Amino acid sequence: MKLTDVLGLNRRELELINPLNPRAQILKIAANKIAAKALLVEHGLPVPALYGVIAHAGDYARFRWQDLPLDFALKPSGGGRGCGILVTNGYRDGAWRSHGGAPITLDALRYHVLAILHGDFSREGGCDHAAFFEQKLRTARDLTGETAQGLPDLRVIVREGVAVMAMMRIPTSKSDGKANLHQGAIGVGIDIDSGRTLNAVLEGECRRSHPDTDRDLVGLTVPDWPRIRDIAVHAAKISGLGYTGVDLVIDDDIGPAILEINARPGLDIQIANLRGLRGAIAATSAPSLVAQPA
Amino acid sequence: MTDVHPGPANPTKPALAFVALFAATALLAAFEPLRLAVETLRTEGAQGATLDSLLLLPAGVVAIVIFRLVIGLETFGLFAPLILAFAFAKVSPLIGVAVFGVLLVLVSPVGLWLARFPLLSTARTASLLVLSSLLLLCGFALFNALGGQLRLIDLGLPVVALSGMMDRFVSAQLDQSPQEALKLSIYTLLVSTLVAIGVIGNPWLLEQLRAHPDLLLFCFPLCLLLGRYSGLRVMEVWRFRVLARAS
Repeated sequence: MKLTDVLGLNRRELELINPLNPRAQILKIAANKIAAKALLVEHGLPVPALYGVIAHAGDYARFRWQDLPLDFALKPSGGGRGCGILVTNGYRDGAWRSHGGAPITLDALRYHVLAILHGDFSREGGCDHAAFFEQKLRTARDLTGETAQGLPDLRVIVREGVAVMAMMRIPTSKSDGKANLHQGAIGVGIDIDSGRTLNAVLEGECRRSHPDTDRDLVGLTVPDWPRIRDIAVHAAKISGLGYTGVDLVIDDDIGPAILEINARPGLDIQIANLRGLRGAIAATSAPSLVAQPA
Repeated sequence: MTDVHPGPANPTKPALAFVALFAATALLAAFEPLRLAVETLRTEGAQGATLDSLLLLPAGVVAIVIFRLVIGLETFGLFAPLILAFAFAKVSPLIGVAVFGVLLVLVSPVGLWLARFPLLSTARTASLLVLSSLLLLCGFALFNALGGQLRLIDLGLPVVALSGMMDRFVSAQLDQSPQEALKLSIYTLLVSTLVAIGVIGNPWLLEQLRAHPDLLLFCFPLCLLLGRYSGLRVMEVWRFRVLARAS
């Protein structure tokens, strides 16, 4: 493969994000998860259920903390890169529990909400500092059939209504249940047409198997792939953003559900697929990213 | 959704615009407006060191932009490496890097310890900034007491710059990951050191800029030109090396 097929940060900014993702739309959708969720629900797309929103001090004072379920995800509406997300894993001995079993007391939860309202986790220059509680999604088994160590998710890159590249991010023991490649999760490239896994990458290096279970990660098929791809494309279209990374989870109960829409999707997906995004976009007959003759 | 196609429809248009911009800059430079400004400031008694800093600042900015957009060394913004480069040019990069390393070892664990308590980030960062400043003050005093040669007048900028750096380091450590924070810190220190040696502390360059200050006018179109660079950054060639090897 030629390096000219690879999309770099400069070109992503100049030729995809600047012309295709209007700043106002980024602030409206990618930097405001509550608004994005409302838009997705309005269009009948599957999202985790919303339990409650705390947008300002008045909401905070009135919030009925005792009504929170045992399991939930607390998120900053303007957050990004997974910052500020707090997920509970049951309630024991007077406190919710984290993925690793550490206690999350009501006081700690309240302070976390205050930090979100204060803007500690807000990204994209947005001024939406609301906190919201939503349904915790569950995937009991990962793609290989082993017990999932966290919540594997899917990232689909959509450019102007066309899905161009996809990957699954599978948490490992090293990533401590998080599906973040920088924290040690494994990225698995997915063939955009068939949903078959192509290659896996861990910390920048290619591999074929899961580091914890040694199960093969290549040649598997993502269940219900055409539907997942269609959901991602539909979500990207209604977002008003021309270049997005749509994150989804295959929940055991509700099936594929959209976690969020990213206006600046990362570039590691290219390594997971062993393919450049520039080349992939050119192959989907998008006109302007094809390398220009000198 | 709007049907916008990315990229320039006609690549010759921006190229012509840049040629026109550089030509206009050259025309403006021929009238030597900056030489006039510098001479005016000199006759009004401006301090030589302040004037030199003003002359070196645009050149330093261009160098940092090249490091970020062409080489791909991510830094804590533009301001942090720039102010650090000025600080390093004053107290030598070696001392600067050593002091930052010591600060990192002393302050970073406090930052992580404070993160366990329910505190708003502004207050937490401010407390680390206070701690860093006091440690630096004591450290420099100790250095001089042991026979070091640092003058108090040289300490102001490094104290502010290194304290600010600690603030960014701890924020990155909490927001992203300790590895990411360390990587950004190393790159920021590296860029600052190179800019301190190659630009801010470069006597030959300073001499040229004193003699021909209007050369600095070209920094503006140069920054804009760098803003149109869409190729891979040098570091990205390394990051995506596995793709180059793939069949």
